[in-house]
Amino acid sequence: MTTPQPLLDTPADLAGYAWPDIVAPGPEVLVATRQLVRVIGTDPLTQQLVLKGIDLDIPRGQFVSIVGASGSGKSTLLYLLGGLDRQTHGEVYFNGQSTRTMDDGQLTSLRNQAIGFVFQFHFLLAEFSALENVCLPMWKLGRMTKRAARKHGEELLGMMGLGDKTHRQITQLSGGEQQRVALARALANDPDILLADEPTGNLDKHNSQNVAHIFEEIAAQGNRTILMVTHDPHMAERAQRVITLDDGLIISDQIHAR
Amino acid sequence: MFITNLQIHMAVRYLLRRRRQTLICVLGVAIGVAVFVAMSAMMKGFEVKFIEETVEGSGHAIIQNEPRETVTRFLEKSYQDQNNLVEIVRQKPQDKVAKIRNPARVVEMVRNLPSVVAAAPTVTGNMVAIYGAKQISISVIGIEPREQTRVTSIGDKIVDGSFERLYSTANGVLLGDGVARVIGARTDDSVTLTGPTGAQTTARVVGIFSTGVTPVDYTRAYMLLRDAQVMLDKPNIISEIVVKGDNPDQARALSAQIEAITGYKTESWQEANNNFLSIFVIQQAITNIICGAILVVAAFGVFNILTMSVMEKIGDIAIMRSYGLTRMDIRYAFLLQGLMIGVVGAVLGTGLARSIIYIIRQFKFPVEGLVKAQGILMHENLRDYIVAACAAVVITMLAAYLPSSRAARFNPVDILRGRH
Repeated sequence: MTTPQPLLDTPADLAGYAWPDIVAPGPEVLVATRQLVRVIGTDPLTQQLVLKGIDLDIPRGQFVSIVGASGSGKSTLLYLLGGLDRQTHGEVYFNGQSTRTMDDGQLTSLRNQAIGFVFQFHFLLAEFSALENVCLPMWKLGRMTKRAARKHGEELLGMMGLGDKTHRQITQLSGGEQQRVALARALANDPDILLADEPTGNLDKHNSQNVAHIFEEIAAQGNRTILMVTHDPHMAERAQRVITLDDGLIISDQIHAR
Repeated sequence: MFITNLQIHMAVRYLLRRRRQTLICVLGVAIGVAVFVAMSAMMKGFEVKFIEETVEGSGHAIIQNEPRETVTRFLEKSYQDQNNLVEIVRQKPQDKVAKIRNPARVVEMVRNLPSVVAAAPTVTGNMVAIYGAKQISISVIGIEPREQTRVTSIGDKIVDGSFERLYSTANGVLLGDGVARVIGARTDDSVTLTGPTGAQTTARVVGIFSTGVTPVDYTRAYMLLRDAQVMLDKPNIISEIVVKGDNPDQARALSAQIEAITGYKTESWQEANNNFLSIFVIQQAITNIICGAILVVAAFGVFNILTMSVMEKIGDIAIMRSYGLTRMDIRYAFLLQGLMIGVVGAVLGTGLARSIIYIIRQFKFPVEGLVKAQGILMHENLRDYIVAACAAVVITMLAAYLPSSRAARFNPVDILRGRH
């Protein structure tokens, strides 16, 4: 949970940088990073050092907010933790296993089974009903029958207050409802961790509160880790722990008494 | 890699979402397939009719009264150096009648070949038929009617009069219906025939035949062999032997075999009609090009629509990748759209082709081109349906390949960051 001294400033500093030995996380940790560096771009003149060596441990069941100014590296960190992106240097651990050695197929499988994503824009498939959107990750996983998946999808939508709108087309739902469908979809395969990138960034105040309340309810169940990137200080305060990033480094890591 | 229900489900939903565009693509493919099959049927209709009538009407092979190889002349033998200048002066033209020597023996030899069904000797020559003020140049074939009916179907092509009357009528002649029409002669009319030597005789029209092949019906006449020999001033001469084999497709091989044993040039029906057959090949090539172009245009439609779809669905692709769909799932979801458009288009196209062919067959009107027919001849061929359907599916799959590959290559993070 500490970051190395900020010796890295530009991508060029990576060459010959003397990293200390990596210590793997303990079993209580669900996701962790060690010396995590991400350089974006390939042109040496324009490439950016977005993450500058992040060390982070997130235990199971914790509700964590990541805050910071635009360009501080919040979303990049989230994508790396979720296996959507590849680090330039360092390690990402999921359930104690390094994701560096995983190929694209293994990472895809990991995302399907153990990670749920919610984004600022819901990205629901307009061709499918609300229920079908929720069922898609389950159909992909293939752990349950279609009927069981539908039943589980209906339960999740019911939990989101959309029990009466399961068969609606996406375009027939409001922005807040669409985001709740996206949240139900993220929970479809009962993931170990929910990764949310500005989940209320595109919603009005009323809908933001609804979504925030749902996140709190999920966190209160205690069995699911939540990592939420947000600009909204009110949203961030709902988390047990608030990590502040600035210029690719963790500058603050506070655990709130609740 | 197997196609999963999820990929099929996604492909179907995407297609149904853009119903109008999908319909246009499917119709494009269907029209391409239908035009290919219908045009091929039309081309084949005339081709098959021409071949059938030619093969049945003129025999599978004809032994001609000339050797296949050119005889090397005496002087050319003596002065083989190409640099020699040889001049022949006061050469006396050789008055040699072209004929098949010992035709009975040649016929016997040919009939003994296992793949030969029948062989009939004939004499051929040109005459002018005059009726009243009208006249026409004709090719007269002198035949033994009973022998001739074994090698050709001429006996079945009589539309007026009788084939057998050739035996019972002195100087009887069978005229092609085109010849009869041009000079205005009918059965039992007397026409004047002028032979190559200028000798004239009166012949009675004992019948009119119609083979269906226009060039034949407008130029040919049949007479009894001995009458023709007299008329053409070719006493006891056999100029051609018509041969029928057991398989018309093997006529080239049969001709070569006959040539080898008789030494006479033997022309298969394919060789004799090579110019027409070449036209049919060119016609088919033009059909293929036109229909290929239609399918390519349809494929561009599929390509455009899928490319637009990929760009529209870029956010969907990112989120689908985030919750566990593989690159292959994404690729197949788009590739299957191309496949479905191709398959549905091909099925509709074959149905449309059958309907077009059925409708065209209902229209009966006299057609007189290379062959004569009532209406446009359509020859349906299963191979054409299969070729058109497979081409449609392959072309639409190829059109879908690039957009689907592009969709599969997207990096979800790039999409989420708006870098696409």
